[in-house]
This record gives sequence, structure tokens and C-alpha cells, in this order.
Amino acid sequence: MSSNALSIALSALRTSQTAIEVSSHNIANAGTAGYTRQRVDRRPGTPRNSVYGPMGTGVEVGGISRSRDSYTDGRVRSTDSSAKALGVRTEFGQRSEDAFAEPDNGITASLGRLWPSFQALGQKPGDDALGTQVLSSLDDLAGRVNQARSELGNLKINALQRLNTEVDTANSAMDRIAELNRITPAGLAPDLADERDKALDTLAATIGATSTMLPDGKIRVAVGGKTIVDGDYVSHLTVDPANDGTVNHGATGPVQLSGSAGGLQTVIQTDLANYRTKLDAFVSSMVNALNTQHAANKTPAGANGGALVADDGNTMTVVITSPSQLATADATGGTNNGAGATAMSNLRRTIEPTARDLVTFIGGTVANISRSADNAQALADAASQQRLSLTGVNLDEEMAQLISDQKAYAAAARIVTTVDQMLDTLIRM
Amino acid sequence: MIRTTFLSHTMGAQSRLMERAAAADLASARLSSGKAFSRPSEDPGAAATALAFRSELSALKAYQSTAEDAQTRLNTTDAQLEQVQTAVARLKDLTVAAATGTMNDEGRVATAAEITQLRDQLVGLANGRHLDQPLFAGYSANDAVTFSAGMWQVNSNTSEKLVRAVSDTDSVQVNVVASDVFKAGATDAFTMLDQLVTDLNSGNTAGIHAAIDSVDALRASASNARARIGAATNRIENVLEANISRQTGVKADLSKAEDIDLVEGITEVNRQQAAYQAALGATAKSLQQSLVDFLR
Repeated sequence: MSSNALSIALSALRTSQTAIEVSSHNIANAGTAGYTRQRVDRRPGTPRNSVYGPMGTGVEVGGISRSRDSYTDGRVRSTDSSAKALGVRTEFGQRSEDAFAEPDNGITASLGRLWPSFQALGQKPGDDALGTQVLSSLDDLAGRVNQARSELGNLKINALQRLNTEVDTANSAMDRIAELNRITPAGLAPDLADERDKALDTLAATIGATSTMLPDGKIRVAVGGKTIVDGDYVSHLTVDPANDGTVNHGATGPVQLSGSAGGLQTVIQTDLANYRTKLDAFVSSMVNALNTQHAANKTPAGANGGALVADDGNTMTVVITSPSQLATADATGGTNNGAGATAMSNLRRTIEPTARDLVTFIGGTVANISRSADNAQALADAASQQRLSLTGVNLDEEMAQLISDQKAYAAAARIVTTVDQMLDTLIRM
Repeated sequence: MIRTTFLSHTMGAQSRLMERAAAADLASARLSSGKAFSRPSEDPGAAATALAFRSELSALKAYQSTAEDAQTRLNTTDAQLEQVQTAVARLKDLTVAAATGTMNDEGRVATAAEITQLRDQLVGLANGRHLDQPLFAGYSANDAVTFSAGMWQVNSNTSEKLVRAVSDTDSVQVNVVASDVFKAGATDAFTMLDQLVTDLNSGNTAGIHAAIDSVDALRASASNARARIGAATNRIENVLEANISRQTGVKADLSKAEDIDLVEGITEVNRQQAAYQAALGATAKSLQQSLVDFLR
């Protein structure tokens, strides 16, 4: 009888100790990112038969479990993946905007200085100083155009470097998952399961991979419809050497990613290309308009105007090198005929609206991406908060648990004392 | 019930603080730059409007300087033409006096000498320049009136109009050509005056009488030219006035599109600062609180 009470008390002491240990572990990891609160699953001991029927045998630890659910994880991962993709697109969009330096130091500002210089030349055709002014305004304009193009080029190189880094990060996370998949699910400690979940979070954030738990407790990971981790099998991703933003999956070829790597793919393949196309279209129409008007004009010496500027799609240059080659007269010619230069300055009315279109196009595109990114980030933050409130450690809760376990321990110790006194009484009889 | 956990609390507090700090930073950046946006994506619509106003403003400034330059040219031309009129009035007096028959040969020769002087003065006036551009020679950079191959060459390219664009819609002609100014009936003023000098020296009374009409015709064409210049000056003055008042309007519009309202900006900075400090205070207070503080 008394030996039963002792063993029941002992089981209570052991269980309380374990619970206190788990609480301490929780408190110790309250600030650890990716840590999941652990719980002791207590259950009553197996009943034993007695003359009065089955009787309880105390308490035992059924296991230590993590409070986590795969639905919340899925939501966090999918929202984070699109927030990361849009975030990286916003970042590159804003840097592209910086490349254009509108509204203060960009193409529109440069055009704003070009027209008055043509107009001044129209009043005094053949004046070297005014002609030089026109040529330097044109040089400045070509400089802005070339600057914007080279900045966009640099951004592309930068995006490719980032893509490589993201893919490397994803590859090492894939290796880690495969490694953890080798451990039998039963032997996978809660802390290791946390580590696997962290690696899955990383994969979702970098490449937008999704995961499924297999019946045997192992994880299968796929991206863009292609399996990258299955059990201990891993298929690494590689950035295509063509540098066009393509990422290849093992033997099966190109794969569309999401997450920050997917965002970078969009930046390289769509966003930057769109900005560049729009810029090139503007430059080509501007060069065409300037040259058409200039060719219709005559220089003070009576020669035909010819081309004023040139653009090969990469570099815009000013063809004319000397102010005397500027065609300031209209088709009639004449030394003091400034009608040609005035007509050049009137191109303002056709060219400036298209320049503003360019600025609004880029500004509008970036504004849209940035708004979507803000929304996606808000969703991701909400999902992450929700998960933290499920998986995180609440210190108050742990303290309360600690006190209750401490009291349970004290009470169980009291049982031992009581049994001891009972046995003592028995022995002294 | 939503559990508040250590991490959800601290991370939530962190992200709220960052948001507040960013909002306070943006508000103070806007106030110190004075601009409502620093990149077009912050407000693409306002950016497009502001760019359009900037473009209009710079065009108006360019038109203003064109109009002012045209004004000085017109003023110079007007001054030249005024002197032409004075000279022609004197010519008229001399011709009428010489035609009255009471004048003797000596007087006519003296008159002829003065008329030659006046003719040279007219040639000088006809070749007047503004900033090195001949006033009455159309597109040409050469003198408007020259004497070569035994006869007077007077620039008669009336189609060579020096036109100044002074607004998107107004273009004003700022020149008259020599043949319009120095015209004396069928012939030019200088040939006519040479003939008059010959007639005076030879005592050809009929020729001197006929010259009175020619001098009248010259006077008419000179004042006609001056009237045209005057009309152009008036027109440019009107355009200039409109231009300057439009500039004031556009500046106001531009400021409305891209500048921040100072009062609003200062209020916003204070508001954001207060919100940030409140968030800091609240976070500091709530992070301290835990059951641990109360267990002894």
C-alpha cells in the first residue's frame, strides 16, 4: 500500500521536474527566432488491478510536443514569399527611378535648358557663344540619357549578383532539410523540427518553395512544380550562365521561382527591360524629331542641316561639333535668318510631353509595385504575428506553469514525507 | 483568444516603432526640402503636373527674354526711323525752298551740297545695326544700301521677315527692309536725291518741282515703316505683360503641385514626432511588464 503511494509520489516528482525543465527551456528560448514553445504531454499511469478494481498508478510523461500547425506555417510562407518578391521589385524600382534622377536632375530638366538655348540662338544666328551653349545643352541631354541607361545596366548586374546569393542560400537550406530528413521522424527532437521549419521558411522567402509532409513524416519540397527535396534527395538550383535571369533545376531546365529570387527574376526579365524599352522609345523619337527638323534647316553658310544627334540604342551622341554647323535658318537660308533655330525650340511642344510620359510611366509603375508590396508586407506581418502568438513563449504563462509545477513538486514531496511518517509509525509499533 | 508571446510582442513593438520612425523621418524630410515628394513614384500624378508646369514656366521665361530682345531691336529701329523722318522733313523744306524760283544759282548749289549731306546721312541710317545685325537688310548680314557699279543697290527682300516667336501662338515681325523705308515713288530715295542734286546744279526747275512729290512719297514710306515698327512694339508689350502675369500664375500652380504647405508640414512633423514618442513610451512600459516583476 505505502510502496504504491511512494511510487505514485515519485512519478509526480519526476514529471514535475521534467515540466520545470521544459518551462526553463521555453523561458531560455523566449527570444530565439524560429523557436516553438514546447509542452509536456502528461498522462495518467497504466492502472493496476487491485481487489477494489483498477487503481491509478500516478502520472507519466507521454512526450514533449511543439505547439505548431502546418496551416499557419503555410500561410506565413506563402505571404512572406510574395512580400519578399514585391519588396525586392520595389527596391529595384526605386533605384531605377534614382537612375533617371527626375524631377530635378533628369532628362526633363536637361530638355528645359535646351529649348531656351535654341530660342536665344534664333535671335542671333551664327553667334558662337550661343551656338556653343546649344551644343553643351545637347551634350548634357545625351549625358543624362546615357547615364540612365548605364545605371539600368548596373542595376541588372546587381540584380544578377543578388539572384546568385539567393539561390546559394536556397541550396544550402535544401541541403539542411535533406540532412534532417535522414533522421527518423520519431527521433526528430522538437528543436531539430524547429530547425527544419526554419529552413523551410528560408526556402519560401528566397525561392517561394512549398512543402508537403509525407506519410512517413519526411518533407518533400517543390518549387515551380518541380521537386527539389524529397527525403534525402536534393536537386540544386543554378543560375543560368546566360545572365538573363533564368534559373535551372538540375536536369529539367528553367524553373519559375517566387520569393525574393522570383522578384529578382521579374526585375531582370520584366521591370528593368520595360523601363529600358520605354526610355529607348523616347530617345529614338526625340532623336528623330531633332534630326528631322535640323535636316530641314540650313546653316548660316547655306549648307543643309543634316543630322544633329545620333543614337545607336546604347549611346546617344551629338554629331555636330562646331557651332557653325548648327542649322539656324529655315529652308530659305540666310545669315540672320533664325527661323530654323526657333523651329528647333518649338519641338518642345512635341518632345516634352513624351518625356513627361516616360517619367510618369516609371513613377506610376514603381508606385503600383510599391503599393502592392506594402499590402503584401502587411499580410505577411499579420500571418507572422499570428504564428508567433501560436508558437511563441509567453513569460507569464511559463511563470504560472512554473509555480504550478513547483507546488505539484512540493505536494508530491509532502506525500513522500507522509508515507515516511506512516512507515515510521508502523516500525515503532 | 490571441496569445501575446514574448516574440510577437517584441517584434510587433519593433515593427510599429520602425513604422513610426519612418513616418516621422519622411515628414521632417518633406519639411526641410519643402517638396511634397522627392521621387515621382511618391505621387505620379502630382509629379506629371509639376513637370508640365515647370516646362511651361521655362518656356515662358524663354519667351520673355525673346520678347525683351525683340523690344530692344524694335526700339533701336524706331530711333533710326525717327532720325530718318527728321532728315526727310529737312529735305522737304530744302526742296520747296529751291522750287520757289526766287533762289539764285548760288543758293541752289548750296542746297545741292546740303542735300548730298542728307543723302549720306540717310545711307548711314539705312545701314544701322543692332547687335551687329543690319536693321533693314532682312536675312542678310551685309549693308542694306550700297553704291556699286554706278548705281544704288537697295535691299528689297521683303519676303525675308525676321519673326520672333514671343508665345506659343504669337509671332511678331520685327524688321522692315530698306526698300520699304527708302522708297520715293517709283524709284529709291538715293537715286531720286542724286537726280535732285543734278537738277539743282543744272537749274532744271521742272525736275526740282517734280522732286517735291518724290520727297513726300519718301516721307510717307518712312512714317509708314515707323508705324509698322510701333505696332509691333505695342503687340510685344501686350504679349510681355500677359507672359509675366501668366508666369506668376504658373509659379503659384507649380508651388501648389510640388511644394508642401508650410503650416501643414510643421503640424505633420509635430504630429509624427508626438506619435513616435508615444509609441516609444508605450513600448518601454509594456516591455517591462511581466509576471516576473511581481513574483518575489
